[in-house]
Amino acid sequence: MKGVSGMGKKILIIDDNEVDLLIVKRYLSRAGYNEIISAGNADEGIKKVEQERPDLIILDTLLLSSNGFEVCQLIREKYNKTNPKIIIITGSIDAVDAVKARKTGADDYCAKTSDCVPLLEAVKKLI
Amino acid sequence: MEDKTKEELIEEMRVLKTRIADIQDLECKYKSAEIELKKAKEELEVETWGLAKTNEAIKFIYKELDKKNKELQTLDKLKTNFISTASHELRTPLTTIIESISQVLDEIHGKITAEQREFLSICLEDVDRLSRLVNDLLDISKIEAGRFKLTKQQVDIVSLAKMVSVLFHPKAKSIGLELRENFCSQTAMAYVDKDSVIRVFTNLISNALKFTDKGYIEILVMDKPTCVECCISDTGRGISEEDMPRVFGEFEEFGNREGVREKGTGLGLSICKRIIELHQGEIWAESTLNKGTKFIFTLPKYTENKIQEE
Repeated sequence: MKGVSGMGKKILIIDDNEVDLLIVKRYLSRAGYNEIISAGNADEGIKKVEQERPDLIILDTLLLSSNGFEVCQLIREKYNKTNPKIIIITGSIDAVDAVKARKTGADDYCAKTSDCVPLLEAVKKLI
Repeated sequence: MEDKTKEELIEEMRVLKTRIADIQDLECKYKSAEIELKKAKEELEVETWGLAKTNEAIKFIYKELDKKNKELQTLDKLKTNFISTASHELRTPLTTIIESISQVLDEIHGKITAEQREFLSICLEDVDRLSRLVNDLLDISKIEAGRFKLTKQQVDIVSLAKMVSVLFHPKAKSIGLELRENFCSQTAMAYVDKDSVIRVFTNLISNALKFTDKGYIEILVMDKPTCVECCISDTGRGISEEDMPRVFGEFEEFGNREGVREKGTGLGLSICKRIIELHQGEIWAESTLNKGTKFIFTLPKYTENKIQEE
């Protein structure tokens, strides 16, 4: 089973929307991912990447003082190209830009939905 | 075989060398073109991937929005039903309270002291306001639920305006205001729901009386070629430009309310707007602070084929 290989992997979610954060966390842990950490803004997120060394980062496109694309580029510049894996997610039509996500180094890109189906699929593919 | 001279051989060698150089040059160009092509291909792949992902994301987000929209509609329906039920339940006891207080005030059950009268009058005034609020809420929820039915008929707006105006004469006189009537024609036939248009006139005139300290209030009815236009204008305190967009909002009470004689429900103008809109008419306000306010609305004209249209 694909999901099993991802268990025991550490996932970091960077999103400034607390409710969205909770929803994503809940669905991931339901899917069996038990090491989930989160950050409410870009700075905290970058700090946690350094401290926790996650295997996968889930990044929201819209962050209070920054945006997901910028954070993605920063992480890619600082660490190597394939690790950690990065998924950029968006809940806003205005911020839908998968080309930009790929160009800044994201591995995948998907919509943020209340059932997290697209996200879970993307996570399973990567870890 | 012909023997070539040394010169001829040297010449051939020279030509060959240039050819080799040309070929090498071409090879070089080909290689860099190949690299560029590969780059372009990679970029195209990114773009294609990106577009596909973008498309997919947009589809999901639209689905999500659609879901949210449906949820909101359900909630809105629940809200409307709740208000309508609650208003009904609230109305019944209020009627009993008003009736009982009125009986005591009318001294049907014996004499009361001046102090008792004062307190009971305060009670009555506020219960009356509460009752108006509940009625207005009930109407708004009826309109929102699409249960507010208009019984349209041929109505002369001039005589309707006269009738409403007469009701307000005593009140206007008691606070020293003049109530002017300005009817541009003998009659102005409209095709409307009589009761709800009376409601609009009543609301607008009592509003004007509330917010005018001196001067006059004018009721104007004009029989225009495409509609019947009515205007209630006053020389009152006016509405500031910043408050203007909120004039027809629900529960909006604004501006300087000092010395306002009667507390409103904050729903009157919202109901007026909805009634006029149900008639496919328009309503708007024009105002200058401290000079006065005009509320203008249009009603559909009565024509012979009006009834056939419906």
